Amino acid sequence: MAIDEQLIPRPSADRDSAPYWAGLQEHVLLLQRCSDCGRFRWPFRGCCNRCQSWDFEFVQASGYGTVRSWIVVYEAHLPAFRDRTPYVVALVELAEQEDILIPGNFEGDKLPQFGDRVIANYLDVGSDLSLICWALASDVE
Amino acid sequence: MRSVVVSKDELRDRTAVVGVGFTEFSKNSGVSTAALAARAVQAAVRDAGLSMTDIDGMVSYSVGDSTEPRMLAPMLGISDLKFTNHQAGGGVVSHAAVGVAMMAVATGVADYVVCYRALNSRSEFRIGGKGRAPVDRNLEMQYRVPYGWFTPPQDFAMAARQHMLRYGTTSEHFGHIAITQRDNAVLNERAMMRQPIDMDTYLTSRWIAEPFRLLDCCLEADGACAIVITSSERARDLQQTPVLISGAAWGQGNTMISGGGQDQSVSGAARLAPRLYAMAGVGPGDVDVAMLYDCFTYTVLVQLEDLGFCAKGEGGPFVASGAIRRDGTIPVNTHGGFLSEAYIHGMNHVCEAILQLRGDGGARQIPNAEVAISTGQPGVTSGLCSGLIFRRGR
Repeated sequence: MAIDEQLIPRPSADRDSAPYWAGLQEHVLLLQRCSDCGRFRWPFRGCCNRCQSWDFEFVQASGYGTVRSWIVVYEAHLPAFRDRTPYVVALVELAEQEDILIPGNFEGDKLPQFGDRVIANYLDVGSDLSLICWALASDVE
Repeated sequence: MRSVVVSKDELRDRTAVVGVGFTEFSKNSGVSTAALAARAVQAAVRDAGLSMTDIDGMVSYSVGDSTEPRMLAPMLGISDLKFTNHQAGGGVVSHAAVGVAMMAVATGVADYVVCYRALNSRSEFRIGGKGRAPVDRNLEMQYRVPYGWFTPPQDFAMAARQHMLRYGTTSEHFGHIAITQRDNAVLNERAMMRQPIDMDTYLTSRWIAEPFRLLDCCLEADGACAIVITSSERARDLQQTPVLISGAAWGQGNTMISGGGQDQSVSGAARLAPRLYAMAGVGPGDVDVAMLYDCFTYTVLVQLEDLGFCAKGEGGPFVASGAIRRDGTIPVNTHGGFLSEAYIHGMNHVCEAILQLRGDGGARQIPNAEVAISTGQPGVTSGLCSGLIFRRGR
């Protein structure tokens, strides 16, 4: 599947999330962990939704998770995706914490299924952006 | 001294909808959203037997794609509105817009408030996303856009899948909703799609974003709807059967990935329903007809559960039983809804609820309809939700 890298819409990163996107470019899945209550935060943001603390540290996530839902897109509206249809977007519950849901494309020989264990692969789309592509963990272990 | 002018417990039945107005619904209106809005407002004011000079409040909502009250009012010769509100958002705030109009009238801030939605969602700003850049303005969209996950069908499909996985809901269940609403649209002269469909038609319609097919998706349309709200006291002297606003509730719904990884097999309507029913003083068993926000088939199914018309997880078998048909226990979207009438972003649901309670439902009239529920997008995504309960005034 050929991807025209420059056509992929760039995420409008904000000042809270910039480190996340910088991490992906290093092929690292970064999370914010609350320095006070220890909960992970997602999406990237200023304060903890559990304890309201503003303190956190960056932690490298394992990259493992399980599939909670997915769609198969047949009708794409932007040129970047039109040539790739049908493509899969999977919503993955991260191994680190049950309420962290990270989307990404999915590639494998078959469609994902609920509860499938997956691992994040990283796909460079130009020099300014890297994305997550989920793959079955059993395929890479 | 009283701490509030009107407490929320006094809002029930204090205001009424006294006029409804429509434009034609089409794929290409050929006019601006301002013209559409003006036509619908004129029609609603005429339906109420009022004149434009009576209107002193104006409310609308949009996703940056329409004409706001501050521009529409002068166009209609109105120069001194006492109350305006323009909400940023789509279906989620559609019924909240009526709610704030209700509060303005109940508190005496304004006497006759018009609420409208006008859009060229087919010929100009495609609500479904076709041919335009993603609306990337909320905190979480950035994590989805680069993966090709940002259009409404894609969002709701991701949620619908979670319901299917958890409760065994099937494509055929969604199909029953599409078929039933089309059957209703056949009897509605305003509806854009009036050709009956069957399960085979549904199941062979092309995939948009699996698990959604074309016939799971609403009809992007050009058009406008408007209503006039005043006090129930003034409504008694007007020409139409007043339809009382018994309940109005709005608030928080789900987002897709924020806020603790919400379970998308439950919508924001589950949190909204107790407040809405309590204000109206009724329960789901008292509701005669339901206009449930149907941007996609799934939102009807999940609302039937979350608004208490059937048990949680039973939405699929419930629609398959025929319960939502015109002769069923709770007729749903008698106008055909967004799926078959047109996607007028929630205001056409409000208008149909009013028509049904007035007895003006024509060939699709539900006999003796006295209580109606109408809902905005139930907070499957977008983070908000809203709903209304109406009662026939006489």
